[in-house]
Amino acid sequence: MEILKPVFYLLIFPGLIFTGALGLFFSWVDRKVTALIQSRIGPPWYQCYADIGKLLYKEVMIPAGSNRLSFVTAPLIGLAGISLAGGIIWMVNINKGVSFIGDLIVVMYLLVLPSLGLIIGGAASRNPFSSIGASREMIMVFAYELPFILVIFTAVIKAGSVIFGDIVTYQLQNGAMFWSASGVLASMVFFTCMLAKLCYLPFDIPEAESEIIGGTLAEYSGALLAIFKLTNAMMLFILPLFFITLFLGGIDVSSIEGILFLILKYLVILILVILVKSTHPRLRIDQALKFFLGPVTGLAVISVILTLLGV
Amino acid sequence: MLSILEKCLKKCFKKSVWVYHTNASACNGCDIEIINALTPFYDAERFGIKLVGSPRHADALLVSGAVSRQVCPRLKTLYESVPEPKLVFAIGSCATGGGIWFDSYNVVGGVDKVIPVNFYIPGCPPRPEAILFGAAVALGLVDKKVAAEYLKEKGFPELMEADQPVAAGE
Amino acid sequence: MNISPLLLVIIPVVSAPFVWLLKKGLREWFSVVVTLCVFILSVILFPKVINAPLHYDLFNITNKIVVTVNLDLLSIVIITLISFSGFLATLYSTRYMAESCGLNRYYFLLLLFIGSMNGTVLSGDLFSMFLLWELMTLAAFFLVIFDDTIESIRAGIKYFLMSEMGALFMLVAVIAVYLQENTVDMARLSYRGMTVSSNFTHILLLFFLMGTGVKAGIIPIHTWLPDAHPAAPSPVSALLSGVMIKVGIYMMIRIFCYIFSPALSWQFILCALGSASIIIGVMMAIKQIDAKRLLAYHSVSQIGYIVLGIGTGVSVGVAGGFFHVLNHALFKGLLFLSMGAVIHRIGSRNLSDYGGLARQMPITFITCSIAALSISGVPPFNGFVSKWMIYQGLVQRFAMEGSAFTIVWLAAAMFGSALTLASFVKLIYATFLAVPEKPHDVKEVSISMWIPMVIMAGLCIIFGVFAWQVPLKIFVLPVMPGVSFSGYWHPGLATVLLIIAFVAGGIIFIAGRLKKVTVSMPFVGGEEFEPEMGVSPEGFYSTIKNAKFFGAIYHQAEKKRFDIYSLGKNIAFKVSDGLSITHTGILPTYLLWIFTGLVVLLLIGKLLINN
Repeated sequence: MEILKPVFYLLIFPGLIFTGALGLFFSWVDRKVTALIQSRIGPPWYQCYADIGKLLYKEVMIPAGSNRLSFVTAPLIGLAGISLAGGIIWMVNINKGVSFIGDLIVVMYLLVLPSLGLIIGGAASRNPFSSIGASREMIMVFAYELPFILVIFTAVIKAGSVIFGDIVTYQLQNGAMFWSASGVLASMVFFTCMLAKLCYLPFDIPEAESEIIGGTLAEYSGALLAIFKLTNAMMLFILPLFFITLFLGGIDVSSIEGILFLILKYLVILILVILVKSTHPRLRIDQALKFFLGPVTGLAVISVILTLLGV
Repeated sequence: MLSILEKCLKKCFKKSVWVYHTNASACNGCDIEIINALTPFYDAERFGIKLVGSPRHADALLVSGAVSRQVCPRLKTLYESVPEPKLVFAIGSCATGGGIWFDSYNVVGGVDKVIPVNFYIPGCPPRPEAILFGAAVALGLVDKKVAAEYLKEKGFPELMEADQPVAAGE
Repeated sequence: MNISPLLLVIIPVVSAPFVWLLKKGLREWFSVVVTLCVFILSVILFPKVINAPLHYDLFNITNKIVVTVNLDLLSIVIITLISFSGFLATLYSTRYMAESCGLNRYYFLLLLFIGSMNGTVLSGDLFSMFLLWELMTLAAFFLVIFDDTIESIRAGIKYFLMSEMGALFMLVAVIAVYLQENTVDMARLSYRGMTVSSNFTHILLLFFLMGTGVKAGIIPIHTWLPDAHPAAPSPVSALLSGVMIKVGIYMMIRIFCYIFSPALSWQFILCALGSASIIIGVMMAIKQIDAKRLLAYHSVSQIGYIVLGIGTGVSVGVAGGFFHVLNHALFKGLLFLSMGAVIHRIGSRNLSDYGGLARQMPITFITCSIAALSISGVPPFNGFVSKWMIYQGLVQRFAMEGSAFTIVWLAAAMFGSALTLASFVKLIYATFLAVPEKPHDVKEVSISMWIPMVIMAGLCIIFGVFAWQVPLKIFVLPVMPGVSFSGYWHPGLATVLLIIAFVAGGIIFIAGRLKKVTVSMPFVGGEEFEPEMGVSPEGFYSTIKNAKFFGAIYHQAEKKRFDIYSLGKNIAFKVSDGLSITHTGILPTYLLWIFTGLVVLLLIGKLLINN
């Protein structure tokens, strides 16, 4: 049956289960490296899986008077979005000729869905702290979307097309996009926007733990919280892959050395993310707004101009 | 099939305990020690213990302080906000039984008079190692410390010379 | 002579006066039946024009100005849209307007409005088009001031004056075209294909742009839109925002794509105006707390997308713009109807008065959420497909001519999409999910109000999920031949996969329900939960409003420094204040003025004769 193959891709192999399992493993790597930076032993290797298992064992509590439909479906929107986006990114790297379901623009729109799930969840919990969290998350999306869009255009302009397969083929022929002045600037801006999208320090403003009692996730418990944590883990896995596909030469799973090279690139990006996360405090929302709409957008514009000039 | 799933998930509970700390009219001595226990020096994360910001995410409540009258209803609300299954740790002498204020006019005297407590960690304040030891006992990682055999057979130590009761007229 | 296209206009216009003769219950259903007949007629006529347009002359006014009827694929799609929206809006207003007075006037004007819109699109020559355009403006004006409040009368006068200014510019352009080409027949003009070469044609295009731009709502001549659309009753707002704007766009397409072959410079201007409309419209919409004003600013923004699509000059972009016309009519009409349902029950347009309506008005909540997701361009709804086509048009334009500005337009379009999402999150939160001060005691609206909403929401989903089978194949691609896609989007498969991922998440949820699900009060640090503690709609984006750069611009916009109408009003008043110094009221002074003027004129005449 022709429909079963894409379903398999979505749910099992490079989709939900594969990405989820690897994402949780790399979340453990994150906590272990943070622990090493802080000169302590970190959690054991099964910690993140135990977290999700424990959350599934807990009771689900729904706030009285909230809209039950939006409260329960909000995490599912995020999960669906990131699964499909992840599936598309993996599949276009595995068969470069055939575009799986959509192209770059589709992936950019699908990556907004996890943030949208957080916002709807926060808005639907009948809790003032959650609504503050939802408002801040939306302002963060407003802040980082513009530089994110601009640096993706850097890749589009260089390769000349919005189809993923063409971008990867361009990099195979002409070398990774990172090795150019505009590529370096674009990578820096993309890295910053990636931190904001993942809600990692210094931009974990919507989920500020001590400040607003957990922000948008304040009223979530049990299996719904498990779905949110799973979505976060999958984003941790998928966004650097997106970065690698666009700027660092694509994924080459046909040979062993390709896979090793991929793991190396991924670990470098992950360690950079962890280093930034461990050494920076949290920004205020207006500081974050000014930061993104000021220096970061400026750098993005400069990188687009440099790309147009051909540098 | 569902019971196998349930057994697997039950095992996960011991490996990752998320903690919410609350202060029920404490002097902050126990709070400082709790926060110390969660710093990198004492490394609670190797047991899977993490501090969370919302009681809905928590598995264990760490309560410190002799419970005063104003805090009682709020402590009850907090207890009801934590999802099942949950553990409550009463940390410090005040939380255990009221401390030195056990008979004061506005202190209820011990957390167990308000919410059911699973584990008591006495001390004023208990050292961070003691708090972590208590958590480890709760998770079944170590056995409870009991007195050695030879000490059990002995009675209480005899009075020393200086403490003998003074005979009348001497 | 084929009378059937004319019936599209004659039926509503002729039955409009009959509304005055009928009594209360009969009047509403008569109007509904009339609009339903018009819709069925337009659907019947649709297959007849697929192969060749219907084009014939009606009667001659002079031997060069001939009133013609022209029904080709572009017209019939727009007419179907007008009739469909008209039918749903009339069905909705049977219940919505039931408590107002002056309903005779209302249904009369509504039928006249629908008929004149059909006529504008149907006419094949510039002269009759202009007449019916004016009739449409007049009908819309009387509908806008239907409420008879000071605010709506001011809004109506602003709309009327700005429309008339634009229409005057357009009249001058029509007369100039007639004098140049000696005909007003649009088919003959497109056949000749006037090229845009000389200054004369540039000025002609500018005047046409001003005329159609006022009606469409392009920056900077959009300022009547945020005042007039909220002031009208909700079903009329749905028609104004959904369909009347599109008649302006239709005229723009006729002029820019059919009659003139547009030069590259005009594509640039259209793209620039479109992008400016997108960003300015949505930035102004973010700070609004009046529900209908927010939706009106979003209309300005989405018209920007359509104009941007038309301005790309690439066939996939123009097709995307045209598809967005259809989509916008659907989801903007749906938004106005659902907000109208909320206003009908609560009685206020201010977002701060709403809250927590999701439990009490579930149908409105779901249809409004579908419309909000569609307008933000979230896949797999219909807004995403048309925006995706517009982006492809821009990318192809960039590949063809490589100007840096195309990147600016593309970034503005995609950023505008994120901002649209932001604004609708605030709307949905404030209306349906927030906690009100005291709970409202309202129920869901009655069936004749929610059936139009459900039909439109269903069409939004169908147009999105079955985008290749239904709307593109039937409505868009026949109108714009030669469209080549450079990207890839498979909405059917994507929807199935999204639903499967959703269900997988649901399975995880069910697996986790080993303990029971409980309902408990929200946790606010142990305190009592008070409704005032939430984030209010004004405070939702207070960070953005207070940021230095935006704060200054919003402040100036509040004082209406950017509004052409206010600027014009101030200039006109200052000039007439200056001139009124001469109105002293003293008779000898007037006689002195007359005598001096006569002397000056005689002297000038003598000088001219001598030369």
